[in-house]
Amino acid sequence: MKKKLKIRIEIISLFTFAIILLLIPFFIRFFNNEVLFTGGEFYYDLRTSRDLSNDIYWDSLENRLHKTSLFHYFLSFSTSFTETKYIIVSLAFGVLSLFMFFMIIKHFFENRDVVIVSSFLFVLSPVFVYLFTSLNTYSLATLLSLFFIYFFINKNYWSVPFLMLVSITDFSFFLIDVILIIFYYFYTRERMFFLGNLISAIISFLLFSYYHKGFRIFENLFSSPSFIVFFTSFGAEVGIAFFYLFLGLIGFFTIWKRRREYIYFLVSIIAVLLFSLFNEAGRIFLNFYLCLLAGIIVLFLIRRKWAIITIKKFTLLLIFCGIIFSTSLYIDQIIKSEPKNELIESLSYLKNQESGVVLSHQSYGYFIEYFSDKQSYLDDSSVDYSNYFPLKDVEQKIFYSRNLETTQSLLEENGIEYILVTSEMKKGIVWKRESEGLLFLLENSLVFEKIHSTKGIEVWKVLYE
Amino acid sequence: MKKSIAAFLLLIIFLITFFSRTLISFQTEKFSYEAYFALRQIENINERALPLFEDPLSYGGRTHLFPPVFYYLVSLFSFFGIDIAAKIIPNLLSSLIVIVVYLISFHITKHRLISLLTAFFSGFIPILFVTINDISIYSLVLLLILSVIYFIMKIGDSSYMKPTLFFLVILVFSHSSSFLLIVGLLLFLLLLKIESLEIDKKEIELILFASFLVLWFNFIVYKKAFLIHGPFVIWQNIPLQILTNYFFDLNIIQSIYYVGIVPVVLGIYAIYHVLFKVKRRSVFLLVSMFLSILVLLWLKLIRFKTGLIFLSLMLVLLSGYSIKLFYSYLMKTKIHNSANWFLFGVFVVFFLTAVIPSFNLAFSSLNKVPSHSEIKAMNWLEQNTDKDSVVLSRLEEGYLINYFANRKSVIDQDFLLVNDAQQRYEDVQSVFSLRLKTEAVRRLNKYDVDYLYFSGKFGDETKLYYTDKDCFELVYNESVEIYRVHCTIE
Repeated sequence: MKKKLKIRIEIISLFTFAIILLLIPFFIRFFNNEVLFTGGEFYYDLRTSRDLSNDIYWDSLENRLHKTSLFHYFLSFSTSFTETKYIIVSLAFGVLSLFMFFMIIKHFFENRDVVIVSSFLFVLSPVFVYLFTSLNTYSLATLLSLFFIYFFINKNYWSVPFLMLVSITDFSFFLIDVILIIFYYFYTRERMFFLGNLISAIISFLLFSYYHKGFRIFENLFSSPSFIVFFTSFGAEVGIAFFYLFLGLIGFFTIWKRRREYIYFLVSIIAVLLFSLFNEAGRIFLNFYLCLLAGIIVLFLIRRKWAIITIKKFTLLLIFCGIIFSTSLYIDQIIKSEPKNELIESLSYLKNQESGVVLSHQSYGYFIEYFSDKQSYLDDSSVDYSNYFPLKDVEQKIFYSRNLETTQSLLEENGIEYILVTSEMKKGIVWKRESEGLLFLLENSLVFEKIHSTKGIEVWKVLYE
Repeated sequence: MKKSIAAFLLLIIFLITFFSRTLISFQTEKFSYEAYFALRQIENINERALPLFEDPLSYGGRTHLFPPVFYYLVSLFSFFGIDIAAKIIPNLLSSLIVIVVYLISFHITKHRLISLLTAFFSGFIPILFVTINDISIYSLVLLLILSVIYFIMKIGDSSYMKPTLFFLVILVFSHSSSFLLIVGLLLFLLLLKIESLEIDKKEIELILFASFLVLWFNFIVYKKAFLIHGPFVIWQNIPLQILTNYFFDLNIIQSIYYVGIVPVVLGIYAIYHVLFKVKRRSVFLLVSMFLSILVLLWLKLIRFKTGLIFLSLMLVLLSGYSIKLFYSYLMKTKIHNSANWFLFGVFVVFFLTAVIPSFNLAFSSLNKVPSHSEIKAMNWLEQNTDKDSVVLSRLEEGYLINYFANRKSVIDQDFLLVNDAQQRYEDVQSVFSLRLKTEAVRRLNKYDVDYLYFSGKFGDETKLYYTDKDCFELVYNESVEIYRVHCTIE
């Protein structure tokens, strides 16, 4: 009885802690009078879902097809939602995902402590915080994948609809799920069950992508590996905490000694690790494995007989501090992310101006489109289109040239009416020195008029004769 | 020898070391060129309670990355006056090394007189003694590393655990050279494994914990540098010409002169004895530290002077072991009465080959501080130029430009987080050696240089060849020349 009560308390604590952790960024942004959701992707998805709810599949602002997936349809039913309701949806996704992760680990490990510790580590991982404080395609895909994995490992045919739903939500997640079930098939040899899942999902994927040309299949499937996009410590939005990788590697080598027992598990980790170098969905899946491995190693360190108790305490303290530090740094990164009030104010001002293309750093593209209702010269989706490099080349010439004639003609050719300059652009993401390139022309030429300025954000209008 | 007498003699050695260092240091009110970075940090801590991480003057504006414990420690004593604290505290810390060396040596040799001799040696290593005016962070780092080594040797006694952890944490928070200790300790574990010696579980736990702590902390502090420079962060982004010149400027004879012939010969014999004859665990630790520093030096992963200081201390400690070997051997022979004369002879040789050179080098280092005329020129810059002016000088003078003139510099000896360090170094060097005016002006324009500072103290040039009146106005000319740059190239 006491043991059952203890288990209940642990589980309630886990879920309560998860909810509190997810609410922290929202509370802080709320007290700072900022919009609650960060990241451009959310605002792009909102805009897309609004159009989808009116059966509009063409992005009239950017003159291209909207990116469409199951997530956008899901969001299109919620176009009247306030930010608070989106938070509730996000939290619900988070709690359900945590529950499914808990159940999956419980299926493989009878040891309750491993399940609890791994789940806590999952909650504290930057991936969990990212997925369920931002509400995007990955949030839904993660939830659906976890449901699918749970039903699949329990040999329940409810896995079929979930895999079908994953296949029409995000292709990378679908690919990883397929790779995992292929490994699992070699392990269990249950052909009918495996084929039933696979074929149904492939059919749904093909049908959806046939009718929705905007369903991005190869978007971000393979990007260049680098530390910046892999580790959250280096600023990655969807990344792994260095500490988790470190603990996970130790856990991996610990299990490697008993590799015959865990061959499927180890091979799947290696596959996911390789995938994660090039793909964000891969990093999300890698995070599941790392949380489990880190949980195993933390428990091992707690239960081990130490020669020096002080060292044991300090080691566990170090691990605890390392994990908390990674999470707090990441939450801080989210809290400080755009859009901030100054940017929204400037873009709202721009909304009331005449129509025209806005030039800025491409990371502001989605915000420009959503808040100012104007076309952004480049945004984060532009990289998926064939004309990206010529456009980027023009953008670079405009940013770095001090020749007024060249700049003027490029602006005119591309129909650019407005230029949005932020303090981050001046501090390194575009320019590294004062009066560099376009900055010099903006300050010293009569071709440009500063029409709005607030807290480091400037909106310039290009004056054409 | 009685414990009390040994303690008294140790105190005498400490005081001799401390007063020698301090008295020579106070022969000048100034510090070495590189010390002015530390002085700025200490002054900033005094004024604003924080170090100068965001520096508006160095490189025209940049971020510094460093753990600040040492500067806080010095600034704690700034009620004596910042300059006095900056003279006394580093020399005090360097002098305290003799005590730790005594303790380590006694642990190995169990002979008080030999341990005192070793302690005396450590106080007068020429390359360490010459740092009297450097406000060197290594004064603290060396003391901490040696202390941790001593506590690890005493790991069997649980009362040493808390001091070990305390000193380790302070070391990690003081400087990134805590890596040196970790590499040495890991090599120690490897050597024990290779030699099939028993590895104490406590040693493994402590060393692995220390490795973990050092890795984690340095990752947090230096992750931005790692992101920008990649693997070159290990070489601190030092331009290649400077890295390679470390080793071209010195030869083996000079290196032995800087360390002292006695520690070199006796230390190397100790290494040979421990590796090939009698395997002693406590001496293995010192040998592994020595070998790890040697490897890091060979790979140019640490600055040459830094590496040589660490090596010399390890050799001094190892020489205590060799002295004990010879002393024990002599005591077993018929001429056992000569054992003490042997010790006396070693002392005399050391005195002649290390103590006297230490004093020589220390006194000659007094000439390697900024001269009165240089400081006067810097003060002129502060009083007669705009606050935003950029002054180009030699690499070694960069900190002076920031400290005395309170003006932006183009380059100094801290290259971390500087994207174009290599290019910048080449440009600055060429400004002083070029003959063509247009090329010089092009490089000066690149860094928005307003003033060109030429002291002639560094480099081979005795004058600048392109400074005509059209583009370069000689605004100051009293042994140091300062030119105002007028021209720009469109």
